[in-house]
Amino acid sequence: MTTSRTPRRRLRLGAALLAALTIGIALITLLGLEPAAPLPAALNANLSTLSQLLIQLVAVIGAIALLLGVLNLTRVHAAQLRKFPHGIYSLILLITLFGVVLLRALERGGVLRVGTGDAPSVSLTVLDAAQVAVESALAGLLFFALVYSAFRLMRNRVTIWNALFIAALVIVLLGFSPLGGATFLPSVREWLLNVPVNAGTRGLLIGIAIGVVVVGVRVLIGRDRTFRE
Amino acid sequence: MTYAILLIALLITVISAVRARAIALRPVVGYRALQRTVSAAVEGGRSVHISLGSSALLDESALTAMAGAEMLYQAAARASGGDLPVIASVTDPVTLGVAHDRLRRAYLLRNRLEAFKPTAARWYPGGMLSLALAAAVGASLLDEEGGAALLFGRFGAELALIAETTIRYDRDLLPHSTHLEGQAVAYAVSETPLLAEELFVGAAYLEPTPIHIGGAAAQDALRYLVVIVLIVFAVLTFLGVNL
Repeated sequence: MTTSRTPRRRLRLGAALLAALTIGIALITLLGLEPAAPLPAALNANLSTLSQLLIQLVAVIGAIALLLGVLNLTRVHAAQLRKFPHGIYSLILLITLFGVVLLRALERGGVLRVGTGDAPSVSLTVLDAAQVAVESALAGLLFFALVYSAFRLMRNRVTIWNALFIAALVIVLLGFSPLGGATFLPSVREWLLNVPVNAGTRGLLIGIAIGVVVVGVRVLIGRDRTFRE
Repeated sequence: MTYAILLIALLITVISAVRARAIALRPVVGYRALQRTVSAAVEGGRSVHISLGSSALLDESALTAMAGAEMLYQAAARASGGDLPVIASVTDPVTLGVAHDRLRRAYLLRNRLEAFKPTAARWYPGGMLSLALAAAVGASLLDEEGGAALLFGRFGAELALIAETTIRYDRDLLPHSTHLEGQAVAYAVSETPLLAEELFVGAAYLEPTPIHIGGAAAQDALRYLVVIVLIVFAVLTFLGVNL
């Protein structure tokens, strides 16, 4: 008779070291940010300094990672250039990227100057003129996308929850509109936003916070996938 | 207080992990849909796009990014057997490294490391609404024969733009967001959205190891604990007890 057994996972030295390092740093940061009362004040102060240093190191890593992000973006879109006609969008993206980088470099180097020192820089003006306008246009589309989604929701299947969702949406939207005679709508909207919506929001946020605590515990005890396999 | 909460969570997780075999997890529709959606995309010869939104390792959403990365691994492990590459997208450059690692591990699990492309993990600049990411996910679904978009993490109302693309071009969508705006949109656009905290227990449903089941049980237990505390406080306040 044979007995089936789950094969034992071999402990890898690298993974164990990584877990030990992560747990140690996580505990130092936690103790630095949230001093533990039973520990001596001097130790708490030292831990706080150390955790601040670690957080500063993280900020440096973030800046380096941004460069890697830009490289990744360039690489992905350079590879897309071969595909026609979709490659045209990647070409526009790359031209814009290098154009803005060049503009900023010229500004920093003092080659490109506009007006007096108080005048807004060219790169910021380009950002305001192009990106903000495009993002605003896309954000405007959201309204239509949401209304279409609501329509689809009711067309696919009518449940009590879907009906409740749509009813709440309609009341809130109408509550914002200046409809003559319907003076009760703004107060209904206010009640809806302050009582059930607020309660639901808190419920969702508490649920997420609990989930975050549980994942945090898993990371703190070195059981995250990063330290395995 | 922080340490007390962490200690309680740790204790419940460990105790539940030891008793994992006796624990029956409540059904979550989103995870059943995930397996179905990914299988349908792979069998249809299409790719899967997994996005972590604006979840970032360097801000308060760090653990959401970790949970999203775990879901990325689970979904990619199921989709990596397909002909087309699994695509992952993020707006945080540090999280890009984690996304890259999880994708690589998923291919390694299938012994298909040769099919893994480093450019399959992608970074797009994020803003207040991550509109660049939303546009990129939509474009990627169309240009790279995407069959499904799986969204795990922090998304705002821009989730509606991705949803609009999936609806118009008949692609599958499994949305989730830890942001309220994104969560509301996810509920409106999908019949099987993952709800807020369900993201953090994904591994328990997709790879039910004792520690993951323990985590899911701890999450449920803590939720009931919070509900009881809230009710007790409400009753005491109603009775006029000064707290």
